[in-house]
Amino acid sequence: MKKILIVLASLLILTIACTSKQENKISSLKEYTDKIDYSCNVDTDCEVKDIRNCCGYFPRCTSKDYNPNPELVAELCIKEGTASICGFEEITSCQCVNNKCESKT
Amino acid sequence: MKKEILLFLILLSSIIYAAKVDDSIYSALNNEDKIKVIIHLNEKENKSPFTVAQETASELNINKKRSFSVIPGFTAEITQEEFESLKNNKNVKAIYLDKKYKLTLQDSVPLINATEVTKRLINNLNITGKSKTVCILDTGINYTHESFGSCSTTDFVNGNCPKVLTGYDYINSDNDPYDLHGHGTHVAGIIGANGVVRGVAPEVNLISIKVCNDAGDCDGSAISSGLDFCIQNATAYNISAISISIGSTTLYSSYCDSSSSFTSFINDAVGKNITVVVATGNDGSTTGIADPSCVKNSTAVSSTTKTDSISSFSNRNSLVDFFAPGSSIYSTYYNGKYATFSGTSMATPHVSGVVALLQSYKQLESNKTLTQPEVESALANSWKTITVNSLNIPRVDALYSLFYIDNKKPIINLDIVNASLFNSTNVILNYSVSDTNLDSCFYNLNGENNISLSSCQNTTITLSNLSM
Repeated sequence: MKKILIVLASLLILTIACTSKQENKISSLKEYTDKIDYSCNVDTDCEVKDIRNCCGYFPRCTSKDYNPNPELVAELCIKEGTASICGFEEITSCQCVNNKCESKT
Repeated sequence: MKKEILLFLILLSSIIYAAKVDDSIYSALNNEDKIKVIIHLNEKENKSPFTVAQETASELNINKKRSFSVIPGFTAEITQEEFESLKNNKNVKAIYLDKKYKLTLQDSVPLINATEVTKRLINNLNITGKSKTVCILDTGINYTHESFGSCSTTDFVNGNCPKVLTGYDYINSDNDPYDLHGHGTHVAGIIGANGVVRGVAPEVNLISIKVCNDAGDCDGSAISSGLDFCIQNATAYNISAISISIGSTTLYSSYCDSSSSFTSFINDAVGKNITVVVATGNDGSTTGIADPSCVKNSTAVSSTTKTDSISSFSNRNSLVDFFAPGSSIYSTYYNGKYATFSGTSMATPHVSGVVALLQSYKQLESNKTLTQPEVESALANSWKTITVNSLNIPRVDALYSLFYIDNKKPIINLDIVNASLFNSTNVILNYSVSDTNLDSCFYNLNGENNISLSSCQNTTITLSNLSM
């Protein structure tokens, strides 16, 4: 009986872990784009990061603590069969405008 | 009382004197501890500009970098504190931020010798792409931009725009492919802007096909529909090229005809003498290029800098057909202004514009259309090559391409000036020639070959000591 309870408890923990991982998993390009962290209080909170698009290098001013996920972008581009524009606006520096990181061009 | 007020105002103005300041200095000082500035000083009687600069810099303890000799002033790198003392110093006339000036279309268009082509004449007409059209698959075009003729939406949807003739929005399924992203308008400007900036083919017509959403992502189905639209309308609008500054994530080291969903469309277009110019992508790969640039019949374009080195972001391998400038290009933007973009996206429209120039020339010269192999051979005729994996790939040069397709013989006029031709050992000939692409002229006489003439136009040739 004790063994069965241990097995059941283990299964329950595993299920919860899988579910929460699934919840954090981004499943579309739109979702990835929507979840990019642009939040800031001052200009120095922002940094130029390569957030990638389906055509490769794609720099944007984001929150300096944001970690882009190039592998996930590539995976989603292939999954959705999406291509992207192969050009990007040049950024000279970043600024914080209304608590959102924006590029200075 | 009035006098006192006047005196007070004079005194006040001397206390709160402030030099003219470039507004961008304030934001630059917010971001940087030290900024580079250009300082203009007031002239001083009996003192040279150099001395004025020297004295002012030393008075304010500013570490100047370079003084001017024509006007009093100098360049320096200053802190906020130094800026305040400069701003309030009566000797300082103005302070400007030392801005960086970027490669503009005014740099990249001459770099590929397109300006040399547009100023040449064929049948008394400049070669500007007039009567030819490039179909652009992208985020749309801001057809209200002054560089595209400032059209209204009503004029555009009614087909009354003289520059951006027509189009379709396959993202929103309507006939108004207006650009809300900026990328498409930038690409369009490189091909054919005709305003403050001038594109490669300033009088070419454009068709705007919106196949990418406002985030810059593009559906395969929209791209296919866009290709279909351009091919269907090829004759009606005289379409010479389809420009696609779009690429996939998957990269290919060999032709991808069997796996690309665009192969049939591209083959169909090329069969109708439409060049399909495609960006190779921005992963910086030395082995793979993106779909659809990997389709054999597409014209795959990678990017170079203004010094003709490969742009760090540019994909390249042996499938690349041509290089063109794609780093830091200043062109039209969706907000009615201008912006600097980089990418193989920017290299691609340079080639599309050259194709329009070549087709336009051929039509004016002989009312013919160049076939795809003829276009490829002409584009390959360049003095500049870029080496990729020990393979020399041409960087496009519009003038050299024009030389390649110029089949028109020069028209030569020769007049004998002295009438005593048959009993004289000296003969004077007046010679003139008209042609689009003459670099040099020479003549041959009795075994004396290749005697150069100083000019091809209105030259007098004196032949003396001729045997009777």
